[in-house]
Amino acid sequence: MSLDLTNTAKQLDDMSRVAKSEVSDRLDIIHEILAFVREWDHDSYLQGIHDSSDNVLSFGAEINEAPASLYPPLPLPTQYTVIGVDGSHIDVNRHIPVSCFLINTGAVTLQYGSEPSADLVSNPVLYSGHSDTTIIDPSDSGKFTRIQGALLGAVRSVEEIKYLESILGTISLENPVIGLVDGTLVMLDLLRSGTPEYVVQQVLSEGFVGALGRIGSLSKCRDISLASYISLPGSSEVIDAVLDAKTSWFNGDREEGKQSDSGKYIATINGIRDRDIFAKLLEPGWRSSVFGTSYQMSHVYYGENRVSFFYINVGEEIGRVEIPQWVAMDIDKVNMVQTLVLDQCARGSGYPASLMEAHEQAVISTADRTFFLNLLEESLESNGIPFNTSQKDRTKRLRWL
Amino acid sequence: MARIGEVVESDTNGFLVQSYELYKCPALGSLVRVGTNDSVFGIVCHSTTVGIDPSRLPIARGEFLKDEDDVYDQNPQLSRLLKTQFRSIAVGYKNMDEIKPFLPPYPPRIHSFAYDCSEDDIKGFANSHDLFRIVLLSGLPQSDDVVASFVKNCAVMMEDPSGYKREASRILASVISGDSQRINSLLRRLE
Repeated sequence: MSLDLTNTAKQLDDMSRVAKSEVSDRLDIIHEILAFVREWDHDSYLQGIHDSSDNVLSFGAEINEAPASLYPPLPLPTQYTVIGVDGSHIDVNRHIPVSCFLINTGAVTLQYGSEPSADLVSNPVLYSGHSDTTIIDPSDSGKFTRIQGALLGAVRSVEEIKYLESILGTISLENPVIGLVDGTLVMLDLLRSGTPEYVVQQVLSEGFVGALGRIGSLSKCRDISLASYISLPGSSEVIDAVLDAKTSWFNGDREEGKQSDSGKYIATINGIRDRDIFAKLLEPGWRSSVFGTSYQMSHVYYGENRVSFFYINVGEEIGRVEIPQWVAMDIDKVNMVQTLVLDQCARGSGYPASLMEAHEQAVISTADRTFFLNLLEESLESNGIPFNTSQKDRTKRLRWL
Repeated sequence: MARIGEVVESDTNGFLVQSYELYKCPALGSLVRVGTNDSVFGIVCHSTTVGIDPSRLPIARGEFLKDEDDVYDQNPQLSRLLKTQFRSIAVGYKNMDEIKPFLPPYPPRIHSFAYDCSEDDIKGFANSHDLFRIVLLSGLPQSDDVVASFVKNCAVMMEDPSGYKREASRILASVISGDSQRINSLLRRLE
């Protein structure tokens, strides 16, 4: 029996009615936060941090300047190059006789200016065998973790950033170059899944952060920037920080403020996001100030590449742009990222054109996945390996009556 | 002669060629040759430029740009995501250096190279009763335009273009005799 749509529709209707009743509460809170942000006294904020017992923020993003500080886009350079990278993968299938997975990295190099050009690449790599499909503890070769599920997603991100690094390494242009990746630079999945430390070290520290650092080194002698773009971002780091300040340093008792239902609690309940606030603050093309991400992981593992971010109004929506520290510390690079991301979004109807094309190069369709499985079956059987599959998988593929 | 593309679809009656360059394809009614050894000749009867991925439709991009070239300059990926193809009706083949103006025994192989035709090759088909018959009776809605374009292309290579057109008109009229309206319409295209 497939999904009971009649039953589902009724539940959706109930959900929508509840959501409608919350709209006005949401708007009230958004305006309350906006008023506070607009009247932000940064000196008092810094004094509040200084006076607090732990001398650090307890919630949310690092606020480096008044959160209502806004910046217009700069004129577009006459020539620039953007490299967009994205990836897709076929996960390990436990129903087949071999352990393997495939990562397909798509990359697009677009050059704008007097000599416009485009280079589109799709790079599929099959990983098989124990050493390719596991991460081995260097201190104990008998200990290993299989690369699959969320960990494979993280490994894919490493391959994407390494691929970007390899392309950036071949670029010898004097014009500005920006490398763009899709999604966040903070690999939270690695910690959420309770991954062993040696895996975090190899995938994050040596893999992802290592590549970020090498790209940072490249940027010292060439005009290279790096950023990730998040469409319709769901985070509330800035709101968390603002409300934390509001309920603690400016409204009296910090602990009492946290537990009251007038600030953070309501914001969480109503699902207000940073984008709701910046949608009211930012004119099209403008960006917010640069915030430091609140994720502890970014501080511990990323070092000089710790992640900062800003919000940008690309016209169609508020996007979140994440940048490593070596970009965030250079205001010229920050402004260049803003200007080029904005231009890319204009060319891509609200989403960076280079990332859209990179996705098209990387995506593995359902038909491709089936074809991959058929090819694998053919290849194994032609080498005398019987393609046994589980009874569960067989019933899914045949779907008899 | 210049190599212009590769066969990507092929059957007894014709073949589809993908051009190497976007928007570069022979004009309607041009004679083309595919295959290096067992060459097959075809008359271009249809050309198209579409997205490489059929699920991605082109959208308007130039509303605020100065001219059409700017659309491509501002979106350089377009030239890599579009393709130009042309379909040809098979009208002959080469056998032991001799041109046979009939359907080939086998269709060309996929990825056969496609070439422009030499003047000698074109002249070899210029008065082919069979070529005219194959195209006019192909059932294509544009078959009259295809034949008319071919005749006009050939005429400019002839020493006596008017005489060639008269002779070609006579052959064409004999192929579709009995349909005076169509004959008149076809002859008007040759003027």
